[in-house]
Amino acid sequence: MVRLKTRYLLCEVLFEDGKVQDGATAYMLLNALKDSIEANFGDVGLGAVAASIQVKYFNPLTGMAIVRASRDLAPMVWAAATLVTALRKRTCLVRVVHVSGTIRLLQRRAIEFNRDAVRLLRAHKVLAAAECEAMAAAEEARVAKLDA
Amino acid sequence: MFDLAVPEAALAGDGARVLGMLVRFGFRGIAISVTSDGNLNKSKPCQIDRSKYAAMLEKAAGDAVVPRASPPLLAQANSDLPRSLAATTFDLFTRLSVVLDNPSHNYSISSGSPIVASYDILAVHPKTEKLFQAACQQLEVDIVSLDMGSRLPFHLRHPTINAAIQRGVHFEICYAPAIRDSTARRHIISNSAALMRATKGRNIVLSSELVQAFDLRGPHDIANLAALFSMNQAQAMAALTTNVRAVLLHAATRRDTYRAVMSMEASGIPGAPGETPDDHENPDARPGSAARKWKAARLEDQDFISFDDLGGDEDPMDM
Repeated sequence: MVRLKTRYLLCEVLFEDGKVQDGATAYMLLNALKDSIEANFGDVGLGAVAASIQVKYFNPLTGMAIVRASRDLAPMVWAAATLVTALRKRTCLVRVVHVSGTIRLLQRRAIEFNRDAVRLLRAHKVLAAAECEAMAAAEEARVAKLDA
Repeated sequence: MFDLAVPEAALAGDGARVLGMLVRFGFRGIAISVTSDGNLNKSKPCQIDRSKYAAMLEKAAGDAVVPRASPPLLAQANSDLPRSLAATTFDLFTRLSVVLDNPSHNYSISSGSPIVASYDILAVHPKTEKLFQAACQQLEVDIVSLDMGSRLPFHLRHPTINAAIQRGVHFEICYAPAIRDSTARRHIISNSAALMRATKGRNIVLSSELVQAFDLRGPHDIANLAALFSMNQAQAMAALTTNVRAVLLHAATRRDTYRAVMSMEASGIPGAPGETPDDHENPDARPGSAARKWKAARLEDQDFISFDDLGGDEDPMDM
């Protein structure tokens, strides 16, 4: 049977203005990625990737995003992600933290990343301690459900 | 992993943020660079205050890293550090980038010049083919950095490039202009392809040349981006790690060598073996000082040994 191989990229989206309450959604990130692919790889790139690129998870507070792409196009999607400079006019950068062939193995790394990100938010007093706990638990549950 | 092109102007703005991001992305050293034009006789020695940036780094990164304001250029000097320390040091080097557009200034770029000796790394930006040849074949420089963001005014020829590779001179590709500007991106992609063809992937260094904090990218992101610059994964990782070490080695041999005798410096970390407490006040501990002592030395009478002094009545040829 011919398998459809995929790559899951665990990314960190850092915003320059540091504001975390803005309503950035997964849809906005997907559009930013597609714009980057169109600007750098043109119609050919966009056509190749349109069917397989998805933003499976995005949390603007912690900056964690999980992007799915087909295996052959993953380097191109990764390069396009590196070249993203703004999300809806807010300067940002995308850093790929981990790449995995299955989402199950990515979840482990994602949970670690989430814990560190929430710890940072708490340290910088962006969120209160109780909110942090609640959010950490909620996000871990969300990530754990992704392989369903 | 080092970033060899961090302009001082970028650190003047929100320097703490730039340094914090560098640490967070996994960089463990930078070369703070200052640009000057070819006429070095009119410039001043290094004005970069490394302790100021070390302090900025401590504030930005806390105890994630231990900043070193006068790190040794050679990796071997780090072997006497305890392992826990070696993984967390952040080295601050200084770099002079000289824009070469006038051949009459070539003579001032020699390792004897005190201005050049006050920086760790020397890079040149040649603007014409003749100056590019001079930089690759004759001048004592560590890095030849072409302006990849715009059309190269000359072709890159194999003999010139091979001469540079044999001398240990490295070529630099800066990725931050590709992130900022679309036209620069096209030129960088095309010029990198030409450079990779001429060098066959050897002696390339990837650095940022950032203007603002958000021009930075993590090392694995840069390695992946380098695929656009015609580098494969192995070449890209080498350009970020091994070749950078090779540049520092070249800089060390350029500055601290006198007639093929090398000097080793103290590691610059208090408490490490070999470091005495008052080294920072002792002018003899400054980099290059051992080499300077050799240069200033003169032969004296006691240096000549007479055969009578050697002692022993036996003829060494008697078995």
